[in-house]
Amino acid sequence: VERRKAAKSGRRRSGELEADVLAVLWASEVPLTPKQVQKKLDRPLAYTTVATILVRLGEKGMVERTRTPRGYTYRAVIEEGEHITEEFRRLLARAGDHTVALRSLVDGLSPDDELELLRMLTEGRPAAGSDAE
Amino acid sequence: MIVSVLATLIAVAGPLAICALAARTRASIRPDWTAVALAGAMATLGLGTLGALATLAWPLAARLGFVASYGAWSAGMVEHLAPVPMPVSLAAFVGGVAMVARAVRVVSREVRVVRRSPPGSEVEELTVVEDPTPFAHAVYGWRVRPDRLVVSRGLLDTLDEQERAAVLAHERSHLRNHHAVLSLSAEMAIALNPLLARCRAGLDFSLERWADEVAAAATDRSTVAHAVGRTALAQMQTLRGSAPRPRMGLDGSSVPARVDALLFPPPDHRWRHGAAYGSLMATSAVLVLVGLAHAESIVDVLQRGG
Repeated sequence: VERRKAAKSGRRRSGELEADVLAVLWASEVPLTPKQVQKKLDRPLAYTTVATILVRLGEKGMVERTRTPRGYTYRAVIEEGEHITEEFRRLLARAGDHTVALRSLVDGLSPDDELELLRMLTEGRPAAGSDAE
Repeated sequence: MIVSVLATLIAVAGPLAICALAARTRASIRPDWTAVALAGAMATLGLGTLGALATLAWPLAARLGFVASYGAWSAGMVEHLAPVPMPVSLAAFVGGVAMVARAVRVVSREVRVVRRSPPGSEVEELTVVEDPTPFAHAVYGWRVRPDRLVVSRGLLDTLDEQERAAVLAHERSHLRNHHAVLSLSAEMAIALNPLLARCRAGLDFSLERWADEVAAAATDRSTVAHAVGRTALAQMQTLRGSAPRPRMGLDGSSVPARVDALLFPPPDHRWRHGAAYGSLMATSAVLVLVGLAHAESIVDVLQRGG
């Protein structure tokens, strides 16, 4: 059981790393070398780890590799994900208000909320009349 | 008599008290404790309400021929020992059935959503949606589908590296800490007792704050505050004038309060909050137990008497 647990958490971690690497590639306008990906990653990862993840993502068809004079560069594959994107768009549209499996980062802002938020982020002062409890 | 009083306490006073408490513990430095305590209290009260309805309804069942002959009860004795007026019994029975049907609907809706969700590999997956509107979702897979982080191209373009890491940590926290389970148990409790709907916003807020605090531990408070705040602002910017508005919480957006809590951490009231929730949960649990024991003792007497 212990070993199975360890294997499971190992898989989880690798999934997490793949997601992070993929996020870097998605965010980049141009293809990146493993070295550049490593630099842009928020967490410190060994070069070989990054390279391994990129190869694995390539096997899954999620990134595309190109040979350049600087070595291989990678970019995220958009086309592959298109049908899944469409499925998600439909899921999000239909999920409605009370689906518990889906959580959004932010909810909508009223004009007052917007002003208060802008003030907090730019001036960095506590909101007037905020809960002192 | 005692049964009716207990039933009222559990079904009406309980939810009002717990939801008032939820509003007061919003500003908590330990939203994880608040969320778990609140969801637990809601579940206790939801089940307690069902128990209370059953207690009120069973004299009706006991009067029905086949149930009575099974327990060898006489209608006269039931009336004597459990003096619940027939109309009340009937109403409780109908109400109980309706509440259970609502709870079943909550679960089946969730099952439908999961079945519609695209399958994938076992590991957590990141999906980027080509959409200029910045948004990020965590989609819980219920172990049937992979857990997913869904972010839009717009979000990746809006935020810097640090903030993107914060968003991923935030969404991941929803999945890792099984917030959907807490949320589902709360929705079931609301189905069993509609008064508990007053707690929904409080629980949602605590879950978002919980994920914010986890993200803050992975990055830092200011980064998370900016990631959340800037996403919300940019989202309104791109959506201005266009059709669908993102859904807003009942009491307006929770974003300003979350950013406030991140930038200016609230005082630590965890012990006070914990004690308040603990005593409320204990009270409702005792009420439920007393009600059950009372009902059982009547059944006991009836069976011996018959």
